[in-house]
Amino acid sequence: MTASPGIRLGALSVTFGRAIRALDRVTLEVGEGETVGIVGESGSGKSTLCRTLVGLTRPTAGEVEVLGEPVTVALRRDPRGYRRRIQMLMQDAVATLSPRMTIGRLLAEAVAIHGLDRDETEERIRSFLGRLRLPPSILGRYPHEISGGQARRIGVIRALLLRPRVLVADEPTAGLDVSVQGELLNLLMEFQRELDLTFMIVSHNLHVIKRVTRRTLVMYLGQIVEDAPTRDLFARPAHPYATALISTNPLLAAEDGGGAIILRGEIPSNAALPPGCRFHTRCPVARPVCAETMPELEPTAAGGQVRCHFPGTLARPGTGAA
Amino acid sequence: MAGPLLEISDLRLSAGSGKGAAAILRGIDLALARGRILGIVGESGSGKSSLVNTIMGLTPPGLRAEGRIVLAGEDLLGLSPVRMRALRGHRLAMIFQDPMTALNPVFRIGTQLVDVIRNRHPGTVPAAVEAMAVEALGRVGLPDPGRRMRDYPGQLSGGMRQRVMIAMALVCRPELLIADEPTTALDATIEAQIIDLLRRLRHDFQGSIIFISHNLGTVMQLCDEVAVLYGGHLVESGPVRAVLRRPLHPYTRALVGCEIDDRPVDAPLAFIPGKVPETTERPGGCIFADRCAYAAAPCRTTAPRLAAQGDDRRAACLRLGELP
Repeated sequence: MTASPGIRLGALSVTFGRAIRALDRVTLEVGEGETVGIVGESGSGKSTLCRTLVGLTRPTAGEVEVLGEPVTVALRRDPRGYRRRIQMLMQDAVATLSPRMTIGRLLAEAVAIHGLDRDETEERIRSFLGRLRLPPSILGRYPHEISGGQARRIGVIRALLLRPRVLVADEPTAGLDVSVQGELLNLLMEFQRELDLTFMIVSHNLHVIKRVTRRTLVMYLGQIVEDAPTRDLFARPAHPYATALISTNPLLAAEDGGGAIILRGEIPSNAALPPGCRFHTRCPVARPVCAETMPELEPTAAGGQVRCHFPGTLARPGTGAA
Repeated sequence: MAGPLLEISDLRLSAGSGKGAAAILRGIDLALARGRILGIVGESGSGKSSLVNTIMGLTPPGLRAEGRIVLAGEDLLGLSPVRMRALRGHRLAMIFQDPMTALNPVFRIGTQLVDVIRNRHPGTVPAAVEAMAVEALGRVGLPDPGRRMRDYPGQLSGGMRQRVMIAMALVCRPELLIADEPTTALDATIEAQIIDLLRRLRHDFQGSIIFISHNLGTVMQLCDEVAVLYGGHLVESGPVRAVLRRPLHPYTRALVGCEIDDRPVDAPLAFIPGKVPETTERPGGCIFADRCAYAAAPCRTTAPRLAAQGDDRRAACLRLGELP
């Protein structure tokens, strides 16, 4: 792994109330400047992971370090400084913009709180507006007067004005039309490269993750079940859950679009987790041991990690391989 | 049977008058044969939901619907509200993106399903109604349907609720089932289950389906035909594979082009610059001209008509013959 990790999680657990285990001993290292995607369904812990990184959710146990410093220490020592270094794009971009303030004031507020130079920031806001193809007149508008795509771009400006080194994006394109999602993703990728951001992006859209990240984490019920270079994951998923998830998202151009693996049953509740492997209740290739022993994350030959007793045994439709 | 099940001609939906008048649907022509599944695609604001709500007679007060919506020989727009209400739940049924808005949270799902069956098949003895309800829930893959009858909607997951909605729609044995983004709010593996269910159900369901989705991949998997809407116009229609693999209209081309492809991480993603027209805009020419990569001078002054392109395809573009 990298010498200076952007993000390091050590056996991070988050439990809500007594019973709801949102994250369960998640261990992870993300290098500075790395772009990592997270995929998984409801209850997988994607959003909790993001919120814990920015300090919105407190860990129940384990360690969270960002840029070499534990989050709890950083937040105590210099909370504003910490929040400048790590910024988050929320899923509901419109909801993050106060309806009583104009866009211009919303951006100025962030600048004032963090005591940035006003003239210089004004200059940067103008240049951001130009690059994000937003008219300067938008600064005088209220959030309800702008479109969802514009609200997201304003969110990006507000996050980047503070010159963060880590950017966490929770479903940045959810609810956006495909006609505009590409534009937003292009900008995020450009900024990631330009500013050498450590970038974590959560999406339920696997195509998005495939196109914009080099490494992907697949999560299920609070655990990482597969962690692999994005190309390898999509070409040869090792975990049966990853295999099924990928099969439900065929590319439009794929000749065989109907080859989805249909998993049985529903995602179990975080309050009543299955014993053994958490995926065994829905796994097409589960064997008796899977109901008894929880598999650990083990390295794969391809350089990733997988949490499965029998990795690679679920055949993908259309490949003929088992 | 002769003729299409549904035939829509020059359907317009508008509000207000004078300068602030809004045009939501701007003259839709569309036909759907019996037993076929039609996908409707287009960006937010293209008129997809307005179109199906108008078919269902669910247009909010203040909106004017003009034109013809003929379902098996009967013009729905000319019907009285009483007659229209009688059609819903008999010949027409609809499932929505969020089942919670259609299920009553304070009644057991069994009660709600039984109500629908009693309304559709009056005179059936209670035991038979109950049996039909349990059977319907079983058919849509609800585990332990007898026990689930006693659950309240809030006790079910999103996927289960959508199954209940599908069961409710199917006990009506509608001639036309409308599904407005029924899987958008569901997780990927649950969405795959529901799409698989709809695909299997079509074999024992005789009616036609209109399926709205923003996911072209899902439309390709499920539908026979597709209609592409833009700014209240139908800009292209035809067999789903032909349209999505070899789109004719520049808008369909752009939309298909935005689908994420297999190119490497560093290659930029496609998007359509500009935004969908407001309902209050009245372009003199083609509705898509402002965002079209191929627009020429006549496109700004002359509105194209939807014209046949070969046997079973239609597209509305002045420059079709000249496009690369």
